[in-house]
Amino acid sequence: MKAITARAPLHEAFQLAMNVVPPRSTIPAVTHLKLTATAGSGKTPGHLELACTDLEFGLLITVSGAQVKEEGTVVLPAARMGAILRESEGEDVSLDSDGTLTHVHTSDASFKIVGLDPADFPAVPGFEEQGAIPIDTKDLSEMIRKTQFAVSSEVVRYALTGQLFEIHGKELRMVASDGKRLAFIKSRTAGRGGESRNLRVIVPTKTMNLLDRVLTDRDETVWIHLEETQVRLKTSRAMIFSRLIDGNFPDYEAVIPADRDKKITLNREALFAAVRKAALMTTDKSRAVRFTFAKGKLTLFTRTADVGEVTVETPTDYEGEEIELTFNPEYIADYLKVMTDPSVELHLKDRSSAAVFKAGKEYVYVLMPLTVSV
Amino acid sequence: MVRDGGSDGVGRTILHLDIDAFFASIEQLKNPYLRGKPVIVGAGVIASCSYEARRYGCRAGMSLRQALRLCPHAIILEGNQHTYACFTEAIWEIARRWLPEMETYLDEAYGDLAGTEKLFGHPRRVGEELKREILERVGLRVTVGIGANRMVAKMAGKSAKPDGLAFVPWGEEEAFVADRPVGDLPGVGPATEAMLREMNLLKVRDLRALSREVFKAMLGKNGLHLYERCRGRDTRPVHEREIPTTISRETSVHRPTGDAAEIRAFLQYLAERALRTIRKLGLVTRAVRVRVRYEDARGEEAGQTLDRATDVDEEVLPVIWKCLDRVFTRRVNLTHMGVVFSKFAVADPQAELFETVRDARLSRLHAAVDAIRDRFGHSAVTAGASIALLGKIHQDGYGYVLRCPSLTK
Repeated sequence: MKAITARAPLHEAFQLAMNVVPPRSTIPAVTHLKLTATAGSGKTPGHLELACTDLEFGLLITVSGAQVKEEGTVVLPAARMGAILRESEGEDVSLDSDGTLTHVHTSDASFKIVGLDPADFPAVPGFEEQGAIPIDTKDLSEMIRKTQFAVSSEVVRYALTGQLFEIHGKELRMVASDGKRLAFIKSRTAGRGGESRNLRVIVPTKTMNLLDRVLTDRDETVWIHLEETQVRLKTSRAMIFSRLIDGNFPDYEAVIPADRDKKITLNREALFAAVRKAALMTTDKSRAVRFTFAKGKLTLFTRTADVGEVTVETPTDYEGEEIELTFNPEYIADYLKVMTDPSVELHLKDRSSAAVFKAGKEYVYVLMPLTVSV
Repeated sequence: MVRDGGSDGVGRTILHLDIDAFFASIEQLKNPYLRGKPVIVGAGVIASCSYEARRYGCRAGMSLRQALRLCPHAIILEGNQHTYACFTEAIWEIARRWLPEMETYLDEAYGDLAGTEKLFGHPRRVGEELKREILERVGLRVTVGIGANRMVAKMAGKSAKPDGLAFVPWGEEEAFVADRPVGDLPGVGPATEAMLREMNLLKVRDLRALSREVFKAMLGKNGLHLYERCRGRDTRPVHEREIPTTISRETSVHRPTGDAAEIRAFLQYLAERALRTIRKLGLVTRAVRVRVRYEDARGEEAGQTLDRATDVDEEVLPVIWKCLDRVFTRRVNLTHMGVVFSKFAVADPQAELFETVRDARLSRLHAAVDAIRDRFGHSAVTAGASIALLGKIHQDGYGYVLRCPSLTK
């Protein structure tokens, strides 16, 4: 293999690959990365294709615009090669390989790296165009970010360690929950070409995260191809394959309540600032903050032994009877970090029922209160 | 001069309260005939002995056989845990009115007097009043130690036992501990004490010659604590909520039994009692063990980790039955059985979104049953397998009167 390519895009591709490559593994191939150079024809320039996998999920990413003098495949240690690209200077980098030894030339250095035999690299699946469903990428990144924070990190609740990815007719829905809160978002632009479909899978959150990262402004469509236990996602420059989470996602529609009779509109900035202030007086052991909604104002109060107490007030449009709930302020801050609308609607019922935060009809956040009082 | 009790942890005043010869004193109180006589409470080993018995060299933890050798005319009683619990509750209730924050144990309690000086006056007065009121209303003598931290308070109490009151003025902690024997320091058990004695380190002041590094090399992490403690500084944060490592309920049976229904009945009863305590402490458990001892003295034990942390009987009992099947495999009667819970965490106050209807109802059910039992005694509600004990074992207001109620907390 002989190829010359721009350093920056290759470095970026390596950085994306590092989301997949585990830092250490008993299988050497897993910490390596397969680089395939394909020569261009006519006006199309050649390209390099990077493949990596941790055997559960993987990434294929194309770096275009390479001058490929001799096609071929090398398998290189991912972390080391990534570090070389990071430390190097100059516009271009040239790769030259004969067997397992690869010469890497940058403007001021030349490396010889020992790689692996490409035959030892695990097989990476290709993308099946047939049966793939197109999804509009317009809202996709936003949907991923607005639900991801609520994903559970507890392995015992296996089904909740991923995001529920659902297509209802032409509507795309994404749901995440850790059992204490739930983030739900939908978009009407899922199905292209007018076809209506149904689909419901739980995708591991790191797969979704990677998809968000590989999406570029040029992407308009992500193609999704499903198999029984696997999903493949294709964008203009990359293909991600991943196992699916095999579990039953709880019935989320049942926990998004519709019977909240108290409605409060809050300014996002003001609420966020108040929550952050109240959180200053909580500790890891005691996270409870009391929210009192009275006429025209919301009062946050918390008291922690050996720390102190705080009272924060912020105006609201609430006119109903006084209501008091206790929340973990972190769970509200997590939501306000990704919710960027200027105002948020809060729907409440009583002190022991879930609170519903709404920003538009499309984005709903359900949060359970704490059962203690402050 | 009374220093202000600041919230910065500098001006703390800790009061330690210890009930003298706890079980034995209660027995002497209940039965005037026993007063002034050496009384020992325990089954197999001494759980508590009166000061009269201590004069003969009897100590808690000693086997009864040895105790009888030392003091042949001692009066040995099996005791009743539930009666004792009544007395401690009465005492803690009085103490709570003086001590805003209290941590209670079997027969001792710590309270923080910070911020009460304006209300109650000098801490020494609080100690005097507390002792007087407890003697007047409950009839028991207690020893009170007061100092700037938990360790000093407890050691002060120890120096004044029985029926004493000791106050270590602020700033004199270091001088106070200097002349105490090393064995008085928390964290110095019989083994460490013997080791230190071998090095001719007898008094706490002797320990101060050792550097931090020497302590660490000798005793590891515990050594670092000792380095601080021998200088009168307590390394334990005050009022940090203490989570027990285990909560167990064990008993010997009146007559050895191989009857599966009866064994289950005992285990369910013991598990219920333990879980009630776990709920009262606001904890959840993640592991349970079942312990049995056969008539031929062979003991067996089996445990399992629970799928998720819980405080609900219904989630624990199936696991207990599984463990029982693993330990009760011989056709030999059992003389002793017990359940041990461990891996505790503070129950998460965060409500669950997908909590099934059953979960919510069970939590409410146990809250209600606990409330009934708190008021009318454990036996007011009998559940499941423990019904087999009805009519077979005597009950009192607190529940079945077991032969050898475990005193582990």
